Amino acid sequence: MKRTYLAKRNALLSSTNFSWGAFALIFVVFFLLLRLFAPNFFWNIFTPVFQTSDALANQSHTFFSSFGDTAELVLQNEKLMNENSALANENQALLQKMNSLSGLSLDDRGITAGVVARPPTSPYDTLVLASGSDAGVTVGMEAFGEGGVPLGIISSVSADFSRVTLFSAPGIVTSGWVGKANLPVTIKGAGAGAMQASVSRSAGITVGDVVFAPGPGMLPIGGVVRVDSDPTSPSVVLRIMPALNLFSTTWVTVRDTGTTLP
Amino acid sequence: MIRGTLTILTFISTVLFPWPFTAVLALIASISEPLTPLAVGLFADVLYYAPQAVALPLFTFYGALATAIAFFVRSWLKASIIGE
Repeated sequence: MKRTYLAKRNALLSSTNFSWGAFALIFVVFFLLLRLFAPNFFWNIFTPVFQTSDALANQSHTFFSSFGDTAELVLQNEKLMNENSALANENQALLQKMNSLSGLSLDDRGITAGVVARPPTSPYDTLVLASGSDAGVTVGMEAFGEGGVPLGIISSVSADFSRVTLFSAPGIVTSGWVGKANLPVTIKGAGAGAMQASVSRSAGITVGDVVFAPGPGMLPIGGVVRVDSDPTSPSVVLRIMPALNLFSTTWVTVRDTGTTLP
Repeated sequence: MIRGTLTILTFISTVLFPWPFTAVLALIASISEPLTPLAVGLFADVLYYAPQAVALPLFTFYGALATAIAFFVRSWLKASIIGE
């Protein structure tokens, strides 16, 4: 007697026919719709995910650092503590001078916001902040890091979250100055936390020169780490790294400076 | 089971690890699941894309490209003597 097999009996649940890729695509489209139509809810869901990611990154960094030379680390720590103490004193003195000169009130210092996602997980050079329109953040406000370093401009806002497009994002153009002579330059975002600018060869800009951006006064935005020159060109390209480590930024200050994104 | 694990791992990597690592995982996953690079690319753009920074959602674009290549390679292998 001929036996019949029902090969497609459970075709929908069969592990050979089930497409994980198609399932993943449906799952992602759902999140895309959620981000488009309910961005605040979307970021509320993903904030714990990013926080877990940060905690994991910090723990792995601590683990790998423990393999370093202890004596060297102790010396380095002592040196850094001394430097930190000196800088804190200097900062205090400068702050007092600034307050006495401009009469800035506490409200002018802006809104302090925690960073939810930062460049290692944000390939487009953006920061996601845990403060939104409910905290008074609006599109076009400028974000500053520790020490008043300009980082970027608020490009989108939801009720509890906002997104900062960093000055290092590709396509972002900022005006500024470079070097001891305060030479005006156009700073262009190069992606991955880096920036670049083109200046005349005769300007004599060297590695280590500080790059400034406009704000309340001249604010250090980064430093020249490499000067690329082509013998056939009258100009040189400056490779600029931010003054603040974007990969470890945990909080920023947001305030209105009248700056806009191009 | 391995296909599912690899797809889920690629998604987790999008949030936890730098993007080059995720890209490598997505390419490996595309051997068995051609739609995974597109799904992961779209997921990365859902999380991080900022139209003010880049005009084109790059990760979706590269994901779609990898998916198209993966489908092409699979159809070519099936049509060739190796697929028989």
